[in-house]
Amino acid sequence: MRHKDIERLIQRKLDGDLSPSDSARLNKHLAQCSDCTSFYREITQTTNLVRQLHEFHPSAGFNARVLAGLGVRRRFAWSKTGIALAGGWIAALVFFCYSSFPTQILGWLTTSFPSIVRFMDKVELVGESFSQVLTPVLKNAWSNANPVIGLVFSILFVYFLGKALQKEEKCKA
Amino acid sequence: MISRKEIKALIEKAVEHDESACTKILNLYKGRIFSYVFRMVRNYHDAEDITFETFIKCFKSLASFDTSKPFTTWLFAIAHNQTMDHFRKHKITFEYLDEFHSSSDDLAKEYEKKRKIEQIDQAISQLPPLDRELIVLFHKEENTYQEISEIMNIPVTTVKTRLHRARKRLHDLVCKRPKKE
Repeated sequence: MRHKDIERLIQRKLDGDLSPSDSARLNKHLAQCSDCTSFYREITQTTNLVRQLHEFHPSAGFNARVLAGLGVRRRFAWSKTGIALAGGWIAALVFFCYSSFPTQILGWLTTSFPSIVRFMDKVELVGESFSQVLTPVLKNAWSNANPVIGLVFSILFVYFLGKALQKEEKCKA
Repeated sequence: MISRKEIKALIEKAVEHDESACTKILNLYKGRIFSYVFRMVRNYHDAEDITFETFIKCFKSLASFDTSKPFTTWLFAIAHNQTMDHFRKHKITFEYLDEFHSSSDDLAKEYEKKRKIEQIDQAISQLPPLDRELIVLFHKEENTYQEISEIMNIPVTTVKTRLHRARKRLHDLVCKRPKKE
């Protein structure tokens, strides 16, 4: 049979508030009583294993659901978009600088659509008038640095646009 | 384990409903809160709804949270109240229901840790809600008596006596002993 007073001591031991003298009393009793020892072993093992119970998780969209419930708008991943846009821009630059494809396209367009040629002539005329205003040095420098400047401006544009939009994101409660 | 300073910083940001801070808090605590609620209500969808309401309430009243106190105790108290509301709404009596004690499951006899844990989980689900809550809060979540008293809004002495009873009931269920009380 189990002893009630010892059972209380076992419970207090599991609570973590057993005095050294009571602990000694408990150990002394356990050394003599098999029923209480068996109870002590079982209840300790059970409560210890409770700590290792599995953790359950809510469904996959739980965070989004809570954030939507709060009116928190999810931020657009500007850093990733910026990298993607910059990468795309570099690829486009390389393609148009080193490939004959743009020239072929242009040739095909001018032969197939004469109206484009007339339009381009007008654009060229405006462009030439504009370029005559600029000094040759500046003109040269600009044409040489054109892709680099374009690239730098593109990256800066995407970066600052992303930053500005991030600051604008307001969380609505 | 996140430090108190880190959680304080997260709370300060989450008060402003900063998305990243809110997400971090959700990722840190949703598993624990959901597991606790799920063990109480024993229904996945109800548990998810209660957990959802808990976090909505948590974030909305975060500004009034006293950061000198433990955040988990406060969060668990919200979850506890939400669960009680659920029980009230569905007219489930939150008291000791002795009929729950007749276990008909064929519990495995051999000792295998995994099997034993499953067995204990099953036994916990057969406990009355109050016993279940105390066992989970004390032994699984490792809250102190004081913290449980704050979460459940009952005196520390009540926590202690009821936990002793709950523990014994769990032991009896796991070890297939009939209730002697």
